[in-house]
Amino acid sequence: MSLFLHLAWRNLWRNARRSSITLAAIAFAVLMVALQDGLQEGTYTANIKAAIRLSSGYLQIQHPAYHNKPALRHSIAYSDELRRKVDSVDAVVAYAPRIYADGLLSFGDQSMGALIVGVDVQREPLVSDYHKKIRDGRFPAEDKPFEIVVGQTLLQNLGAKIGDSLVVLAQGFDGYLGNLFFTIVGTTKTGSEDLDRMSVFMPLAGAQELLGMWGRCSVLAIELPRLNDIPETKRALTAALSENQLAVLAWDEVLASLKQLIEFDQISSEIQMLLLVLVVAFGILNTILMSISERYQEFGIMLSIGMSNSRLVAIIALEVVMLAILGIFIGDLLALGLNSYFSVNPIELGGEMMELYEEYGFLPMLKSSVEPSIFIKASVECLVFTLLAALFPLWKVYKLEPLKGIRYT
Amino acid sequence: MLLTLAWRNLWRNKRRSAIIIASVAVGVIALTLSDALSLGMMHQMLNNRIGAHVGHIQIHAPGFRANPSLTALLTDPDAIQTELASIPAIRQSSKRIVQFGLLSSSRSSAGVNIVGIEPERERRVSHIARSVVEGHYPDSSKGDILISRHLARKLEVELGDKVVAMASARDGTVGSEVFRVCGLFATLDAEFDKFHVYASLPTVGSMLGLTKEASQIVAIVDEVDSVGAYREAIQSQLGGVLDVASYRDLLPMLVFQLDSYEQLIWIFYLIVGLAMFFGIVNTMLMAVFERMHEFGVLMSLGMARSRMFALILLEAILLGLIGTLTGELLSWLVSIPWERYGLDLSVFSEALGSLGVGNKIYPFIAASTYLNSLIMVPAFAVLGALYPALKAIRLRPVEALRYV
Amino acid sequence: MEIIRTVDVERTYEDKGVPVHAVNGVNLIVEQGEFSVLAGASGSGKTTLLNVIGALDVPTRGEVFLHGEALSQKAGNELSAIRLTKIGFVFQAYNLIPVLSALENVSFPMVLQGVAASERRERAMAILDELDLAGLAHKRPGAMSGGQQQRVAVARAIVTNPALVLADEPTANLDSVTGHKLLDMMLRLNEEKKITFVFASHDEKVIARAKRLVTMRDGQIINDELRDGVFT
Repeated sequence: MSLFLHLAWRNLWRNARRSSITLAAIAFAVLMVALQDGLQEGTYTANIKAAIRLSSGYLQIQHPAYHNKPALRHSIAYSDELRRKVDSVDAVVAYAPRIYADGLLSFGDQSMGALIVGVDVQREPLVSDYHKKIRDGRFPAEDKPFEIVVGQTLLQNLGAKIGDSLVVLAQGFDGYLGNLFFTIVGTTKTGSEDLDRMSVFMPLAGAQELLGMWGRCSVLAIELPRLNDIPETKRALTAALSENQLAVLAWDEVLASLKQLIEFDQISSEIQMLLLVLVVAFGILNTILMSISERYQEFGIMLSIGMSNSRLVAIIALEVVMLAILGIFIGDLLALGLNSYFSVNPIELGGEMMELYEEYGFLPMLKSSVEPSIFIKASVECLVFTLLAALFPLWKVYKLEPLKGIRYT
Repeated sequence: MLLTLAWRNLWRNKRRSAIIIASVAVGVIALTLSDALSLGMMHQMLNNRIGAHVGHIQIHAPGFRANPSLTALLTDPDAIQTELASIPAIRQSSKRIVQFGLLSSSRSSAGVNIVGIEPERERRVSHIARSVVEGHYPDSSKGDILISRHLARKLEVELGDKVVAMASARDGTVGSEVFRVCGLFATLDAEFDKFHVYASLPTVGSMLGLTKEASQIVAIVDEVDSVGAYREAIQSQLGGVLDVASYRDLLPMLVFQLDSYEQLIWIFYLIVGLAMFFGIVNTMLMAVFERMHEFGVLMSLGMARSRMFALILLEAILLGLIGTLTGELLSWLVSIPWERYGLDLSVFSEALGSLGVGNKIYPFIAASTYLNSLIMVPAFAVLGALYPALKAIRLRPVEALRYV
Repeated sequence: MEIIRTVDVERTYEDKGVPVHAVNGVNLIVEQGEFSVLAGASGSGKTTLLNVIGALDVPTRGEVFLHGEALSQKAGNELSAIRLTKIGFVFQAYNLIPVLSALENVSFPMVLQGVAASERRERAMAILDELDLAGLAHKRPGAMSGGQQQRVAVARAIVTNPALVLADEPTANLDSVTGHKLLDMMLRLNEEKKITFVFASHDEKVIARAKRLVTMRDGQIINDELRDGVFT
């Protein structure tokens, strides 16, 4: 066996230039696939984490009807029993109740629409990053239910500043309109245009007072250590809450459009990459075909002294596999280098690109990942295509007759 | 004559040439179809926004766009519309009042943009009227309001139900009005649907304490591509005081996306080109070495090296061109049913709705898409043939002749 | 008239580190109308000398004069032009461009010269007619026998009216009957049209027909005799 390996290896280098170019082609294909996948994986994960920490949380507990009809009517009781049951699930790191409602802000003769977000000032920082996005001022204090934080753009449009008081008007739980004064204590810049233009944060108690929702909240956001914990924890929570008729949703059910955007992007890139590898595979097909026909005389002689066609095919297949593995290895190495660089130093987008990304609610950066699955997938894909490309030439060798080989011109 | 030689040389080894052509064609198909998809989506996004609400041109009082409120209103919109009517390029115009407010049902409430429209004129500047799926488009009767199906679900109302709209009026008080849901609409843009409701302009105006003022005037022009020029013309015609914006100013992000796409697509061309490049280098190298003796004969005949060099490059260009044309032909064939039936991607409906694209994506293939490939792809083929061609002409005739 | 004069021509090359003096100090004059053969065993240097005379190879030392002009003074494209207009070659095998027909192959040198299409066709057909090859005009080399290919090669070699035709082992791949026919044709061209031929060959048939026999060994001329053309 080792003789054959030796033989195969030396055969590869009979034409060093040709083999090198083929190596380069395979390495290139692997590099492209791994690079693309790495950037996607890294960027998506970063975006998902950001969305989780800025919007949905890993999981959310909701009223079963809330997802389709997010009304205050479909809020849940923020009871001790609920808290106890959620605590009982191991993986849960933290949880925080939130109230979401639509409202109108009035300041002087300006009024603007807003998304009201009532948060538990103590618990919320464990579950989200809102408090980190405070640009000026501060997050509301726990004992001051009528303090409010206004999105940066919203504040500008209202013409207000920190320290001012404004009126928040909203339809409450019982259908009646509530309006209360709130004092602006801070402003946020979250990087998401939507949030900055439309949201205000107030302590849960303030929202409950405004909307007549004492003891209730719209959702309970749950924090977990890792994305991988989601399925298991979701199961555990659903089981624990089965009698309460509450729904447990993962982030991708809450943010269905983000998930689909990611899927759509993944699928279209996948197709593009497959076509790319196909292009390279054609080149390899030609190369193998031509190098085999150059050796027909040699093969003919080997066959005539008694080697079987299958053995011959095996030898050449071995050459192809060796070349492929070498090329894949080189490609993986290069990809590993680039991916690790970009996972630690993501490409930051600036200028209008940055604005564009933020407009869509994405982080303005491209980040890579060194998840092993990326390299494995790229390697396997290219190996498969290379072997497929070798099928026809190998078949020809399989069918070769000794004399035909010797007489080949 | 060089061309004849190059062409015939291609077919000496039909299988080899066919494989190169196939690889080029696949690359071109990948480029063309992904281009068609991306451009299709972007154009759909843009056109949906323009058609649903934005129009080609919008006229506001200065400062409105930065801070949309009742402090920056057009004081005499009718006069402006009369002016506009005299400009032939403008097909249609309509005035609107736009104010953010709260829409409440007995069950729930939502923050919305309340849009007061002139129903008949509005019908000709946006396609909201065509997007009505239940009930009817508001006529000029007082209490009608058109909301989206999305919103109806959120507010838990149906046709005929009453809703209350509340918004800040001009004098700072909160104006309110009771409406009856006369119809439900659904556009392809889920985000848009969630936030817009339509009622008759006079009703909305009186709710907000306005008499003849309006927030904006929307206009549709004949030649969309010349919208920039029209914008300037209108601006000067109206005395240069008002803020006249084209859709390019109103949807800067979408426009930027389209523009920057043009630049980024080159990266993909490069990658596909490189993928082809390796195959071509190796194949042409082998082809050159096979014909080395022949090159020696050609040199002995007195053929100049530069001509031999050109011959090899010409063969590569021909392969590249044939491959590109084949790929483009196949892409075009695929695009025919695609343009007719659209690509149904309802499995991604949430995502597409959030982008404002709609579930069916239609391709957008411009002449430039075909042209770009036609220039770039054969160029890569030539690049691949450079090294082999250099190898061919390096040798002295004797050395070439020694090749078997 | 003197066509070729070599002065102390040497051609040395390296064969795995060992210098080989393929042509080792040759002085030779070839005159118009000659039908000469450079003969010798393989390795004697006859082919190398032929290549040097034909501007296919460059001597390591010494000079080659063609019509009095020193070839070493010529640049690459000048040598190309000389090969195009003044010298015709016939090789042992694979003389013709595989994708061109006989007519096109014969026309090819004229294409390189920029001759008009109609004139090309005329002259090429005329030559093919003369050499009894008209029937092969539209056939490609793949459809011809070895002998036919060699004869078309000769047609191509003379179509530009070169000063001299060099033939390197033209009969080596042919059977003896075909070889004779080829040589008869070349002899006829030499006698009727006064075309100068120089062969490098170890074939008996070729040597037998030589009007001048130049024998070589180890890169040097060891014998140079004039003979009456004898048909054996």
